Amino acid sequence: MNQEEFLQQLARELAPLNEEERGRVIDYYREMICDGIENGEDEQKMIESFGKPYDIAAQILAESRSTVQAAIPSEEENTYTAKNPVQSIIIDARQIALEIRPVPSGPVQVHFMPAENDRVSISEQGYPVRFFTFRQTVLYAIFHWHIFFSREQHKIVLDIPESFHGALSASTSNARIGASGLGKLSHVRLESSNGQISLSNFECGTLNAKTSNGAVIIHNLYGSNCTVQTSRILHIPGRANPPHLQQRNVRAKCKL
Amino acid sequence: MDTQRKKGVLEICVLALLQREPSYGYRIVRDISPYIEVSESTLYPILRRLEAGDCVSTFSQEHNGRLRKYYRIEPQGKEKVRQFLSEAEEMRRIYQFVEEESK
Repeated sequence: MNQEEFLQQLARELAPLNEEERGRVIDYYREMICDGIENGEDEQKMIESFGKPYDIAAQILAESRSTVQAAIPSEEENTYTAKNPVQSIIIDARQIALEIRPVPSGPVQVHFMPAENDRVSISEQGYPVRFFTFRQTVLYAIFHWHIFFSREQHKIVLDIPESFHGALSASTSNARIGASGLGKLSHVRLESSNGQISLSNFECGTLNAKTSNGAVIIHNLYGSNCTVQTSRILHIPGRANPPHLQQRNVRAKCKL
Repeated sequence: MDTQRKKGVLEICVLALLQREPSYGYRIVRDISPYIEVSESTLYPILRRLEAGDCVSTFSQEHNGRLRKYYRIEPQGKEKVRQFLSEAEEMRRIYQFVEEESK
């Protein structure tokens, strides 16, 4: 691929951006190539080293979305709504609690108030199975570790309409996951490395709940294939009815 | 290194470099790559984000009959570097602790 072919292809891949933003990227790469050639680099090889236009564009497009969303003032709660019918929900979060609640109708929605260091991206992809992905990351996590302790009030709320019977996969590190009143989900995977997982009045085909250091508390769980993993406390009072509940790595007392 | 963390570190490296003098894309990649892995394509989003966050500003200068875009550090960018350095001592202590405990 020569310079012009590369830049043209890149511009095509960047179509979702406005003209100004697209122009910036093209100018950047054009300048890079000119400077490289002046320094005796091989045009062809240099262009190869940039990576595929599709991959370059994907990275820039992802970035531009999160920049736009991060710019929203953090004072008010933000709502991220799935624009299409969704079959699968993916929540990928760090250091932040997740509350999952049923709503009578409407689309799949995420309510979340980003703090200063949060970066958020959402995407809807796939055909025929549509994935709705909500991703939250903490920028500079390692340099602002003290903020982890002041994030108690900070949480992500996921609204799932009653008509949703698809799959849910949610992970948060170091924070709790709670869900109640959810019915008829097909597959559910919940993972939190250090947080508590609590589920009540919960019905699903397959459940896989995993936390390495948190408690798992379950009230009224209905499911045909449920796996719960924790090294801490597993507490299942009342009328739990999971036929194949496996307890692995359960050190603490367990009531069934 | 974790991607988010690497992005954060790269931002700081770019800012640190620009403290000396304004620079342009090609040279920034060359100057930083001995210390941390960076490619032209990873640098772009970083420069864009720094610019959007007013950590750097840009200006164009003519070079060999074409315009070259230069990046200059702004007070917000300098503040970021200062903050990074002030947290370094704390981080060193944490690394030391983790290292000691891992022996």
